[in-house]
Amino acid sequence: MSIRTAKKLRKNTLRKRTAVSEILIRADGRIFAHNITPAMARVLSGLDPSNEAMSRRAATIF
Amino acid sequence: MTGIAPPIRPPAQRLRPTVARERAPQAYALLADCRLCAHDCGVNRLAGKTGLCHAGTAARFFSAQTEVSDELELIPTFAIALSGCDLRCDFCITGASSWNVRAGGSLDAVTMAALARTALRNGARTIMVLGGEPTIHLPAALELVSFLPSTAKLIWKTNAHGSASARDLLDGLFDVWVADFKFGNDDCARRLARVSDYTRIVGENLLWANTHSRLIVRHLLMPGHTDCCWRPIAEWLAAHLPGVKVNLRAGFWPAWQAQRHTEFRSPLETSEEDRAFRWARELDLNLIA
Repeated sequence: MSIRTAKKLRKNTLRKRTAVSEILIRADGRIFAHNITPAMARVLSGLDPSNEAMSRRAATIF
Repeated sequence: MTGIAPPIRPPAQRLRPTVARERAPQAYALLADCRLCAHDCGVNRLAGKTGLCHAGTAARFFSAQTEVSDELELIPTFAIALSGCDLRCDFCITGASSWNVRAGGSLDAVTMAALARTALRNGARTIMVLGGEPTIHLPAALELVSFLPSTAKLIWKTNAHGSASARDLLDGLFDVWVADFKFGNDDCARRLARVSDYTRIVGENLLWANTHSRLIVRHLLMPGHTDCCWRPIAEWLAAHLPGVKVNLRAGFWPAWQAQRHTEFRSPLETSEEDRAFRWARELDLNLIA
């Protein structure tokens, strides 16, 4: 494989990967999340602004 | 043994990639008689044999992204999750990938290091290597470290079920160990994760990690296991690692095969959570978020 082909392959591999978070909303209204990205933290913080821990995660500069 | 964080040996940060590069072939050679984790299988992974984790010689990853789910002092972290694990926790939140060494994409150390450097440039404070369980992919993890910036703050996120030989090869390479202490007794460990002699092995790993790195211990509260699991863990931490940072998590999620266990069909009761945190305070544990 040429260096050029290898670089192209690598670039394509990177493009294919997108960030993933998962959330679970229970019947009692509680929201669980894991693999929280900064963008997801902002969404979750918006859903419950009183959640101080999530606000701090959402405030992470990224 | 004191839980007060001891002075970490001189960082020798400039040498870390070099040390990792030197150790990677040693780790690879150990695959011929694999005893990287405490299952102590002794299989020859170089010859295509596999042990309980099913890992071969090549590592794969199922996630590599910047996250803010971890401890506040570590985030944002660029988290690299390697596929496969040596434990079989029925409630594993990433069970499909953590139990499957073939999940995700092939790990190329150079490419992954480039992604990590980009994340650092964009504001990530740390790089976390996790799984599954990264210990079973020690050669690949060391190769990855050899390509990471020498000044990056590296986190080793582990189930604390590694062997002494794995610890030796990891010594001095990661700034922080984030280690799970999942079960407070061996019966629950056997039933929920199919692992024996669990508490002794985890204890040994935690004591080692506390003297060779910065240590954060995590425990995920499980419905119905506050008394049998969290209580003895809390007492052990208070007795053996006083002052160690503890992240007590209450976000149990009935994932993967959790439904196989009747106690996991209900969420964690608020009363259980309250009791767990009360014990932690009574035992003067150093809780962090």
